[in-house]
Amino acid sequence: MDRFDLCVLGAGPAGYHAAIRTSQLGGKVALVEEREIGGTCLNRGCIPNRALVQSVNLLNEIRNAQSYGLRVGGVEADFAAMKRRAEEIVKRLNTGLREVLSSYDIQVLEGRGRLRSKNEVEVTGRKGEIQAIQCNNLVIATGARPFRPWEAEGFIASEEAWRIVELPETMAILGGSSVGVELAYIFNSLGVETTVVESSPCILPQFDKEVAIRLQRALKRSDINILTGVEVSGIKNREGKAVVSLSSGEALKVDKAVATKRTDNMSSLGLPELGVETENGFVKVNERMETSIEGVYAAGDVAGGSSSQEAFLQGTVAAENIMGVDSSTAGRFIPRCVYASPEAVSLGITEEEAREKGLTVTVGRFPFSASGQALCIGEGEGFVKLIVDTKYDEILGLHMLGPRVTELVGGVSLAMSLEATAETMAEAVYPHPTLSEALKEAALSSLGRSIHLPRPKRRI
Amino acid sequence: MRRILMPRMDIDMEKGSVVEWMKPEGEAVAEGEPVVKIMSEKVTYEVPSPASGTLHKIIVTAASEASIGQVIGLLREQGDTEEELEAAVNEAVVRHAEPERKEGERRVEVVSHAPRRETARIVASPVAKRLAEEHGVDLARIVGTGPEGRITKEDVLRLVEEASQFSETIPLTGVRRTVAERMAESFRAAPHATVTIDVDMSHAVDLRKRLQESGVDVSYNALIIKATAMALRELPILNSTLKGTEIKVWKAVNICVAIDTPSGLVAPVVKNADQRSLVDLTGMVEELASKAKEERLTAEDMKGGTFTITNLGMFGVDQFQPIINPPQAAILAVGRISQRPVVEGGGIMAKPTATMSLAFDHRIVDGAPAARFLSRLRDILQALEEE
Repeated sequence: MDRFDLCVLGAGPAGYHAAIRTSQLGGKVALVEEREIGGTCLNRGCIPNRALVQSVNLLNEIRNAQSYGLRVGGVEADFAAMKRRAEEIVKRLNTGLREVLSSYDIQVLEGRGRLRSKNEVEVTGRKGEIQAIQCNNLVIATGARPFRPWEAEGFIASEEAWRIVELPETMAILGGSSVGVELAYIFNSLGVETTVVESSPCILPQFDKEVAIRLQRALKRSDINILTGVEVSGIKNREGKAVVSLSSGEALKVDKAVATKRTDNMSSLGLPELGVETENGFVKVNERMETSIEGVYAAGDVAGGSSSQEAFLQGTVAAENIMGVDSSTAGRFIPRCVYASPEAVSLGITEEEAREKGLTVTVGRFPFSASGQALCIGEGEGFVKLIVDTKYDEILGLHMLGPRVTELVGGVSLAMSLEATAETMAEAVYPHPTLSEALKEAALSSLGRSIHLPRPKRRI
Repeated sequence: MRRILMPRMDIDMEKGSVVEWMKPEGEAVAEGEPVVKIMSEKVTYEVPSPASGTLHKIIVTAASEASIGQVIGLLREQGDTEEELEAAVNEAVVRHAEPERKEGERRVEVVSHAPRRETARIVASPVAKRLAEEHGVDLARIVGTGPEGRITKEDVLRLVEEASQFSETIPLTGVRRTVAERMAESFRAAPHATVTIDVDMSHAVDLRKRLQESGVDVSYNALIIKATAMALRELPILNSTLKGTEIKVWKAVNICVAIDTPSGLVAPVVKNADQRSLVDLTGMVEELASKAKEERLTAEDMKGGTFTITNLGMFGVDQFQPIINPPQAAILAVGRISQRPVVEGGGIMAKPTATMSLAFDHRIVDGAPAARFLSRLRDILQALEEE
C-alpha cells in the first residue's frame, strides 16, 4: 500500500474534518474507524438527540395548541417511532458522509488502529485481520467514551439513552451539562419522572450564570427535578431499581441512571510508547493541534475538545498545519448550545469572566417578551445578552436563552470573527418580524439606544 | 479663482512642507497678505496671497509636503461659480493624491469635470477602525494580515505596541528631512577623505586682542572664514562642484556657515567672503546666526554656497569629521582653541591651538592638494593681519 500523507484515527467530527480538509489541500488520506463513520456526534449524540428534541418540541407545541387557537384531539408520543425517525436521519447522514469521503478519495479502513510508530499504523479489522499502513502524519481523533465508575443494572451512558427500548418511569441524569439537560428535556416531555444531579451550584457551569439560572428555573417549572451542589457517591441495584447515592446523604431510586461524563478514549492506541504527552487525561496539544511529537496531531474530545463544533475546528486546523497552511485555534470563538425549551446559547466571554479579567464591559440586553416575533410564535421567554467592550465597542460575548436561539448565534459568531462592534451590529438591517431583531436590539441597548424598550432611567 | 502654489525658493528645491495655514477655510484674505507658512530647504517662508478673496479650500494641510508648483490651496474670487470651484478642488485633490512621477515619465492628463474623489478603500475590521481612531493610527500605513489583506485588531495593536516603545515620533519634514536627504546623498555619492592639522592660534588671539583694544570687535569665525576664503583663492579646486563628468570651479567664494537651530542644522551663505573685511564678516555671521535662530532666513540667504565651515569649538570639541555639504567639494571642521603644549626651540611651552579637519570629495581632489590647502590655511591664520 502506498504511503499516506495523513492517517486519521477516528472518523468522528474531528477526524473526518481533518481527513476532508487534508484531501482538499492535496493530501492522500487514510481514515481508520472501528465503529460507524461520523463518530458519537452523528451516530449516538448530537444528531439522534436533536431528532428526539424535535419530536418532543412538536409534542409540546401540540399539547399547547389551544393557546394558538387550535383544538387538537388526544396526542400520543410513540417513542419507538421517534427512535426510528432518528435512526433514519442518522442513516441518511451516514450515507451522505461516506459519499463525501469517497468523493475525496479518502481511504476508509474499518478496524481498530494502533500506532507502531509515528509513521506506521496497525489496523485490526473486525475479523481479526491485520494490516499496516505507512503515513507521514497522524491525527489522533479517537474521541471520548462514557465515564462509568460503577457497574449496575439500569446505569447507562448518555449515548445509549436514545436507544432505550421502553420508556422508564423514573430517570436520574448524572450531570447538568448540555447533554444532561437535553436528555432531561426529552424524557421529561415524554412523561418520565426525571431528576438531574449536578455537582455545581447550578446546571451548565460553563454558561453565562444568568442564562443557566433562568434555564434551570424554566426546567424546574416543567417539573424536572434538579439537585445542585450534590455529588454522586455510588450506584447500586436494589429491588430491580438503580439506587443513586448522593453526597447529601439522600438516595435516588430510579429505573434508569444516565452517565453524561466522558473520559479519554486512547488507552489502546500506544501513545505512551510513542512518547506522546498527555495532560489531565487528554492528549496535550498546542493551538496548532500539534502534540509533543512532530508529525503527530490530536483533535476533538481526545485533545480536550468539548463539542462537535470545537472538533470541526480542531480537525481543520490540524489538517491545514499538516498541509503547510499556517492555522491556529487561537482567538476563535466556539458557541455552546443547549437544545431544550427554551434553548440556551453561550458564545465568547461571559459577564462573569469579563469581570474576573478586569475588563470594562457594557451589557446590552433584550428580553424576548418585547419581541413581536417571539410573541407571535408563542415563545416570549428568555433574553439576549450581548457583552461589549466599553472602550472599543467590540462584541466579546453573546448569551441567549429563548426560542431558536441556537439558530441566531451563527451570525453573531461570524460578526465576532470579523471583529464587529456593537455599532456595526446595530447598523445592519434585520427582517421584521423575526427573532433576529433581538440581536439588533441588544446591540442598541449596549449603546443606550434601544428602540423597543422604554428609555433607560437616568443614573443618579 | 486663484490657485495658491508651492513656491520655489531655491534652485535645488524639489519639495516644500506646509507649516501652517494662517487663515482658515472661508476667511477673507487680501492680496499680498500672508496666507500660508511653508518650510523648505532650511527656510521658512510666508506665502502672500496672489489675490484678494476668500480661502476656499486647503488642499495640502499643515505638516504635509508638496512638490514645487503643486496647488496647495484655492482662493475664491468674486464671480466664481460653484462648478468651477468644485472642478478645481477635485483636480487639485487628485493631483495631490497621485504618486510622484519620475522625470521623463509622460503624464497622462485626465480631463474630467465630473467630481472625482479617489481614495483607496481600506479594508479593516470595525474594531481595528475604532482602535486606530483611539490611538491616532493611520490605517493606510498598515498592511493587514486578515483574509484578503483585511486589517485586524491584532494588526493595529501590534503597531500601537511598537509605537509605545518610543516616547515621541517626529515626522521627517522640513529642515530635518533636508538634512537627512542631503547628508545621506553626500555620504553615498562622495568618497570622503579627511586631513587634519593643528594651527597655532597665538597670532589670531593676539590680532583679535589688538583689534579689540582699538575698539573693533572681530570674531574667531570671521578670522577663520577670511583665512579659508584666502586659501580657496590660492587653491580654487576646493571651491568647486562635480557635475556629471565635469568639475566646475566657482568664480565666487561663497562660504556656508553651519548654524545649529531648534529645528536643525542650517548653513546660510556669506557671499564673496574673500572680499570682505573681518569687521564685515563678523557682522554678517552674527546677522545670519540670529536670523537662523529666529527662523527668518530667506531663500537669498541660503543660495549659492561653494564651501562650508562648521565649528563645534564652543562645545569643547577638539576635532571631528564632517560630512560634505553637497554639491560642494569640501568642508572645514574647526575645533576649540585651547592651550596645548608645543615643543619650540628645544623647550615645551603652552600655545593656544586649534585642530582643523578638511573633509574632501576624493573624486574631485586628491590628498596632496587637500593637505596643501590645509597647510596654507594654517600659514594664513598664523600671519593674518587686518588690511
